[in-house]
Amino acid sequence: MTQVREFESLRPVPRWVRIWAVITATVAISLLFVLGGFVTSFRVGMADPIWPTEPWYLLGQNWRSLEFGFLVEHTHRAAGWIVGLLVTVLALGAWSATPSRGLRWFGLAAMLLLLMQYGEFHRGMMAVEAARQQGTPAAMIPVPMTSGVGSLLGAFLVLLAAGIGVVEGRFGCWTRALAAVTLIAVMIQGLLGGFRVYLNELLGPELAAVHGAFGQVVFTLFVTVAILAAPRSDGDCLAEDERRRLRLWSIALPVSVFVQLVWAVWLRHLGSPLAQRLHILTAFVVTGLAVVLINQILSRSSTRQPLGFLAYHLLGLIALQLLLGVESWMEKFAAAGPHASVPPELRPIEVSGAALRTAHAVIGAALLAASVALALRIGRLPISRDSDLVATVSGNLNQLHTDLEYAAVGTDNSAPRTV
Amino acid sequence: MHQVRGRRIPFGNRWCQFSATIIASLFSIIIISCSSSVDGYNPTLRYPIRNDLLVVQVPPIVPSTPAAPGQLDESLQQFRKLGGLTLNPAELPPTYRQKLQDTLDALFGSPASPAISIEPHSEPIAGVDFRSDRLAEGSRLYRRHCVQCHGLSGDGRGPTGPWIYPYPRDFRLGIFKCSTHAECQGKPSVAALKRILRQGIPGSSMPIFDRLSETDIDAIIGYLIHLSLRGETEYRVLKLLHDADSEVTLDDIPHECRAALRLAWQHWHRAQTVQVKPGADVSAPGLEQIRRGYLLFISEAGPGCVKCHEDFGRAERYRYDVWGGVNRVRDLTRGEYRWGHEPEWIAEHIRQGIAGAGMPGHPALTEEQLWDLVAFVLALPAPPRLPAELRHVIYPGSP
Repeated sequence: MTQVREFESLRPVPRWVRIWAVITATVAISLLFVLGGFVTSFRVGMADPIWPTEPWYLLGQNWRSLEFGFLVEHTHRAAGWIVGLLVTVLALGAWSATPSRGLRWFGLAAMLLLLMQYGEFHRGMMAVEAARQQGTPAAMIPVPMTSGVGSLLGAFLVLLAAGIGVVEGRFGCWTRALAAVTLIAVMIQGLLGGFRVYLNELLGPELAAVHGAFGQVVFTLFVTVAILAAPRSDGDCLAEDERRRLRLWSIALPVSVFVQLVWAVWLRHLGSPLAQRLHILTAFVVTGLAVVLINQILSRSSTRQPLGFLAYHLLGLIALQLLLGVESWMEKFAAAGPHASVPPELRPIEVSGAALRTAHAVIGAALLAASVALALRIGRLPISRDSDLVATVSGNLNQLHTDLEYAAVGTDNSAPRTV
Repeated sequence: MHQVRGRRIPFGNRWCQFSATIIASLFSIIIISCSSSVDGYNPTLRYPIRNDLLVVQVPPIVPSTPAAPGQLDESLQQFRKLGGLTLNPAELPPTYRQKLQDTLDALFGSPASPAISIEPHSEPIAGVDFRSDRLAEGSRLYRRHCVQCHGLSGDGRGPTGPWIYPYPRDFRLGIFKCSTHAECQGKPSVAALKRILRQGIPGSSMPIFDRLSETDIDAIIGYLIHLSLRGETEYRVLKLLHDADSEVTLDDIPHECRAALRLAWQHWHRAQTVQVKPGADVSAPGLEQIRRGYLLFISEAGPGCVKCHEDFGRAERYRYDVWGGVNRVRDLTRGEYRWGHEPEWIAEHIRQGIAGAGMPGHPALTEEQLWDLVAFVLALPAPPRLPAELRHVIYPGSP
């Protein structure tokens, strides 16, 4: 192992993994979220009532003969596969940087088991769907239980490996653990999307809403991994008193943005008047929290200098999102003319309106990412030269950052490389 | 800031606590007041009176492509230029439209309280329960499962409708492709509708609803027929009001509506009495039977299947249907049959044709010819089941 030369910059995972994490988050929001937003805006989640299909299904089709709704829905599926592939490489790459050899191989083996069993489950579900399409009642078709249980076992082992890694508390353990958890999360998200189609008549709209809300969680994980994968150096965090001053607001903002996104998902998928009211009211809460936080950051030079860019970025997104929100509301709910007597969820969909609402949904996810990035940046703890600092698994954002505290510099053969 | 055990706690002062209580109470009131209106229609909501064009005659041309996504109504506006005939219900005097709306509301209720006011001595439509509570349940289920494609009034113009192809069925003409008897004026049996709900329609966006209970399926079908009866009544009366020779006055509208409803009801009643003939066993057809079916298929003098199903359906060919949409002629090599793989249903649609889609019936075929054709159609998507010489003709390059 390379010895630590200087204590200026440390990488929790190799550089390419961080680049890969940024690519994954970028592809997720610019491709998967945009297409997913269009699926909901045009309400074409059931344009193809068959699930699962092969990942490469679209490649064998004549795209000119595919109708619009089918194409939008299937490109969203294809984008899901692409992001799934990116996350698989991300998780394997991040976990490969685990210092402890035994844990590294255990985790990699668990991930491979999970991937194989998940693939087998997908194949089994394709056989189930084929039988269903031939007219066999769903109740008479056995689901692939063995591979389903195998997938659960694989997921448990991956979580176990991630948990052991966190308890060990080596530098970067949270980055690697969250990368592994992201793999499981993205698989769950894929299944939620699939079962939204497969169980349409029982739970379709509800599962679509859960799929939409859980998508925000998965995207938050992508962003978190990308940020935690960044190299650390001396003096790259706030002073203790500044951190304390901003900490509560920085945590409250992403939480409120997430709650706001849950109302949004509920409104978009189920058209509930309750969700409509909660979404509007929570917009005031989010805006208020963001303004307070940005004001607190910009009011002092000690925080303005390191966090100014993130604060202005957040401010810009908030302003854009408010504008898009008002326009989306006007387009969807403030109808006049012959459509005024028809409930909003039953009015015809215009391309411009669908594009507007999709943009509102995507910027909402970007806002969540920006607030999470700011919270992680504010909560970042200084790198410690003290040995034997062990992270604890409390879930607290502050403690989450203790993984960045460097342990046993120069005495641990498995210490990460400097750059 | 308030201090607890020496730590400064935000939101700790009295005003903050008061504000938090007010906000929490506000959210609770909203949740309680809105929770009752999440499911079901608003009681004041009425079925909208028809504004889209009535297609009386489609253009006498063969379309080369389907309508662009989301452009069904725009494409209907071109029909007159292309030689078709459409009527615009929005051009009727407002008093006539209002009278028609009021009459239809009186006959069919509202989405929240659907009803059918039919004369007491009318013969029942077998297998359908039109009691108001069952219709209300059907309306609730329809809203959950069907409305986003088929629309509030069953016009096939729900929010998703224009963005998928084939377009969702517009029930308001009272014509269904799964109808299996010419005398029923396009009305299907309840059993045929159940099959579609249970099995979906392969090759379209119509999903499978086989996990719904029998009671729910019955309720949905009852409500669907209710929408179809309402839409057909509206369609017939609107067409009559556009007819310069009909001399229908404002006061005649209720009478004309009841007459149109009675007629449509009789067709639905009759459709339930038609039985599908039991099928012959073509599960393992002989090669000779398939050869005979093939010769019938390609013979232009016989049923003439090949005239539309060019290259066995693989060539992209389109036809206008009676709703004004554009149908793609089915690709029979894909093995996707709209009404399942049961030979008797395929035979029935060859014999009777497909209502509204332009596929003609072939009642002159003998039973033997019919089953030869069914055997060939069922073997067509499976090359190994075809005789070698046919396999090479239909699938050039196959072993």
